[in-house]
Amino acid sequence: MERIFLDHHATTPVLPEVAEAMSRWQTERFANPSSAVYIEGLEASRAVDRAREQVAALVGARASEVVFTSGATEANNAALKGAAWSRREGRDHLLTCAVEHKAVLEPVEWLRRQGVRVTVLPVDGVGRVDPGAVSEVVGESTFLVSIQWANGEVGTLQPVEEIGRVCRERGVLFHVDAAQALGKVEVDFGHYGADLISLSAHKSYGPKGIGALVVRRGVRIDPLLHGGGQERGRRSGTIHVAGAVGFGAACEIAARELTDLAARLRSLRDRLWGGIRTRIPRVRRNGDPDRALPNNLNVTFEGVYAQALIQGLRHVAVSSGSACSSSNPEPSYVLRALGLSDALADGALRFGLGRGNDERQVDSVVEALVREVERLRALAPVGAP
Amino acid sequence: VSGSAHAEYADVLLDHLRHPRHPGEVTAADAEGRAQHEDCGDVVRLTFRLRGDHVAEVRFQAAGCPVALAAASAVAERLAGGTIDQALALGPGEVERALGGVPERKRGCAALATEAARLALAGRTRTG
Repeated sequence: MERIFLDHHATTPVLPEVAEAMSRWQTERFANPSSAVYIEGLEASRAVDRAREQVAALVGARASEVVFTSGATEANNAALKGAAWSRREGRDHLLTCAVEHKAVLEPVEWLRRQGVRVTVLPVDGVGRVDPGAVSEVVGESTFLVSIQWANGEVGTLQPVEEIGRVCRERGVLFHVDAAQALGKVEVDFGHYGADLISLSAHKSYGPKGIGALVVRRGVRIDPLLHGGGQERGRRSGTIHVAGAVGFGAACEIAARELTDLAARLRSLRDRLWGGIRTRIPRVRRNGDPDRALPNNLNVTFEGVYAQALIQGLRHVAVSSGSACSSSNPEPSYVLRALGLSDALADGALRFGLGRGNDERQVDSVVEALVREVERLRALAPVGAP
Repeated sequence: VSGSAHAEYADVLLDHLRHPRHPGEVTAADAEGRAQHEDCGDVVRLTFRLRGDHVAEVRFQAAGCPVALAAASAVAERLAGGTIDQALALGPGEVERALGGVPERKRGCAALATEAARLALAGRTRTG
């Protein structure tokens, strides 16, 4: 039976055009872009420059503001720790929210152990941060606000424009983890007033192992990695040339097709949810149905344990939580932050639609869900949770 | 190439999950036992029809994680047609082995089915 991949929040396939663009930069064109004193090195340097422009163009930034990293985890660590290390005296407070990715929450926890005061804002029932709460909590001692663009489990888009305005007014750095948003919704660095944006290539049809931290011109933060001074001293280490070229190519395609792709994914998502809610009783959609990633659907099937359901959906690749922690037995911390009970969180599946999906696949998944949910519910004794 | 389709669960466990043995409920049961996990809420219920000191029919109902469901199926399979003494002697360790092992943190879920059997059948033996 044809496998259906519905876990595009975890990762996406590298597009053939992207793989094609990358291929020669791994074999015959292997020179170090830092060795721009001979033609091979100069060509590599130019390829990286072009990739930098492609990434910058997708997010409305200047090419000089793009710092390539190994991915969004490194970018988040660089932003959070770099901002903390560069903060002015008397500023010891950092603000983030409860539904951030672990690649934000864990470095924040590390900083807390180093003496930084941390406020983790709650979210409402659909996973949104209240910009008013940000305004109330940001104070004289705050040096950084870090709020994600879009949530990778429930798809909720945060009010980054309003939060960015608060940060600008108060002179506080604003970091946005946009790993899940890139290529799905418009991410306009200039417009939204962010100072630092984390990006990942592999969530948007580029290769794994490359990402970027976009750093607004004039913002100075200490680097995470010291060494040869690459990336204008902001991230030492030889650049992953093929990765950067692939990331650039993926961004160029995303910029060209974003509107059409978003509309198509939204239509597939609505078809999936329509099928589920009309055919299966006792389901609930988690997240914000109005302001969300177009490709996300998070659904609780009451009375069913998601991990058991996944094993029954034999031809479907789908997740019960963020891929990084799906081996963890604890119910999703994101769904709990939205106020779901453990039982409702345990019954949640995260669907992430992508370019390769079509209506026929969505219908096939709905059929499989109807069958499996009914089967598992029939196994349960009366009075089961 | 061999190996399970899941990082944590053996193929035999997944097979029980997808093709449960003896699911459902014995009508007019002679004995029943129900065990629920205190922390996660997983629940297993076993119902029995007994003939003398033998299990004439056993069926399971379960709600919960893959391990709780598969263990209930495996226990029902083991108990069917056996004696009550054999049923009471079946321990969680043997169930875990029958499932190809379970993750450490899931051992409580794997033990629900044997606990339900014990609750149903303790005191039903001629010798015990």
